[in-house]
Amino acid sequence: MIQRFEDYSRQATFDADVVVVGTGAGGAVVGAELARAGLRVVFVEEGGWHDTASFNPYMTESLPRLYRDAGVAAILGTPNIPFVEGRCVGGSTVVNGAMTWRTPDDVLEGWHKSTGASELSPRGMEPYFERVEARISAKHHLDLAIGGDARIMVQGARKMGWRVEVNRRNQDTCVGTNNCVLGCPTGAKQSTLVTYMPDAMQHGAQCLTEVRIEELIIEGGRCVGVWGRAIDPRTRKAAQTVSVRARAVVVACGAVQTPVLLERHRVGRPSGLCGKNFTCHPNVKVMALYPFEVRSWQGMSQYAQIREFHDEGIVLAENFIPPGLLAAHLPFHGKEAWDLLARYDQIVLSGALVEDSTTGTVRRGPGGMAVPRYDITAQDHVRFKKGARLLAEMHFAMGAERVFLPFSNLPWVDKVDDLQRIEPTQKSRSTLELFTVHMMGTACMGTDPRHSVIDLNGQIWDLPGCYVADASIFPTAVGVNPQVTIMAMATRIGERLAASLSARSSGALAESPQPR
Amino acid sequence: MPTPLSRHPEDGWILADPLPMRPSTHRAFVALIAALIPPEPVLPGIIEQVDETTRRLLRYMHPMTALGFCLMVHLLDWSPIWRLRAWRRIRSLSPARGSAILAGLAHSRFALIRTLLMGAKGAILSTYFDMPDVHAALHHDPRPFMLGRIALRQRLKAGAQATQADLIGPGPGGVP
Repeated sequence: MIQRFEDYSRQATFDADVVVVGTGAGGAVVGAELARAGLRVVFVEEGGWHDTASFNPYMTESLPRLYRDAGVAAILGTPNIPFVEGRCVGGSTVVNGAMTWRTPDDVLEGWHKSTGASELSPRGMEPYFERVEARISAKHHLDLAIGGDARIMVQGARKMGWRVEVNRRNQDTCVGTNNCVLGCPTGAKQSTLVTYMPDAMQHGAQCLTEVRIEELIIEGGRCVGVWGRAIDPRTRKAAQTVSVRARAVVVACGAVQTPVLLERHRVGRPSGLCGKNFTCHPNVKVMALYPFEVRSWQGMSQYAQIREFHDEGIVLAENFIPPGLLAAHLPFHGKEAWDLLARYDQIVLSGALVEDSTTGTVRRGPGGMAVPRYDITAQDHVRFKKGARLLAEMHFAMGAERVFLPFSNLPWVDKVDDLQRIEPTQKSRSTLELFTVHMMGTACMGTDPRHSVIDLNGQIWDLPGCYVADASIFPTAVGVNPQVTIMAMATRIGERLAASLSARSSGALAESPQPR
Repeated sequence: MPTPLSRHPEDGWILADPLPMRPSTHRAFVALIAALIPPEPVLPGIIEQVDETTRRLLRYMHPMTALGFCLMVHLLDWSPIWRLRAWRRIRSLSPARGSAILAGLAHSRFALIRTLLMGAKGAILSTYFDMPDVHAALHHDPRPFMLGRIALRQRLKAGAQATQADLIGPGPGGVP
């Protein structure tokens, strides 16, 4: 059953075995796992439930429906980094590019080594990856979905002699409408909205939408529920109080919002790591204007990644967006903006993603606002410049007439020789223009409460009954699109929590299962 | 069931009312819109549409962010004076003159000043370039293509085979 704002005037208190806060890659998966095990699950989601048939290509309608803060948020630092995250049933899986990269083996080996937990090794995680990939239909595309910008990227990479890997994406018969960032209007993208959430609902789960959770309910040192407020859809102000009591609480609000909720209760004290260890895979955008029609808005988003420079922590890819979103990043306004957007069909947008070499923090600010902070390092700065230069060289090799760079004091160049101006002009990090969508690590998992916020079951060390299942729990950045890692970890946490609660119900076991 | 790809899907979701602004803030905001959007083509009512839609988006932001946006509007309105470029605020200048002064902020050596302009420009231009009249003037209409792809997927799911015509091919003079 799905509840909306108007329903809470009739009923505002709920009981469940497990309440799951958030319905994205973490929450929906853990909730479906628990519901399948026969447990009574209540999801609480701040956004609304928007079916596939309601998705459209219009930004000013889609941002408020699908994105937190209508897509306006920034990580403070040098430079500031704008970021976006989903706020709707399905969370960021509804608006992401549908990449399904597994956690790289070297990252998992690192987690295994640092925690001593073999279940986090590539072999230990293998069954969870397989389950997730089967459910979300992770596979390569039909050729008919490949668009002009993808062809340019692949041909360009080949021309430069770079290694390209075609992405596997969570899609079923994707036909390339390229509306991934505003919701897939065909239903091809297998977000949690069309996979795990329906699974959970079929097994009796309830979903309370349009409710923002403000606090955990803690009694006798144990987390026994959550309370929050329904959001009035016209004024967006907090209205009716809504509470859910449960045997266990799973927090899955993403790596920015989860620590803000937890910090209110000062959890993670043994390590002091709650809200720290924040990583975000920042990236730069490089836009190219071609003298011929490309129609990047037709064809799938992110067909392939250029992984030639992966060993240096740089991944290159294409990713197109609607004209409204593109306009937000232009280096000019007025007539010049019009003149460029009038040639929208000739634009290719690409990006260079850089692996984190440092960490930041997320703090609870005034009015409960999340305040993320992250400063890139000198090493990152070098890699961003290199990534932008590589992409620009490739676009010029493919015939681009102008390439727009992510530098406020060198916004574009018209020939490849002009790229030599990057080094002398880019001495300061503050002229770099970054963006990100991969936030991770703010409630990290581990085997020692002195060095982690949650244990291997996902339970917060100093708050029994409260679990975390989203990208917060990553001990380190994953270096790839994090969706599948979140889902695999959430499957593992859901499986263990289901076993624990079922055992407690039957009286067979009093304690939660211990790590293998 | 909403009509596919409609701009205002009828799925029961209620869009918030535009955020009310104090009259002085609103005057400054409208002047900023006029200075930042393209002077041509002249589209009747476009400033009002951008104004209302942007203020609606502000409702969905954190209240601190929306407050910061209103403050930013005033700072930019006063920018001709604190930049010593004119003795009047943006609201009292012609859109062309205001636009030129704002363009200068983009090249400031202070990141904070560049951020101010980027925030306003991002909100206003992204809204402007999403308006139906602007899409029409740009000859950009993704609906026919997308409706065709939705129908194609339905055919493929029903067991039909894809044909050469279903490829997203380069148009005349398109990608080599």
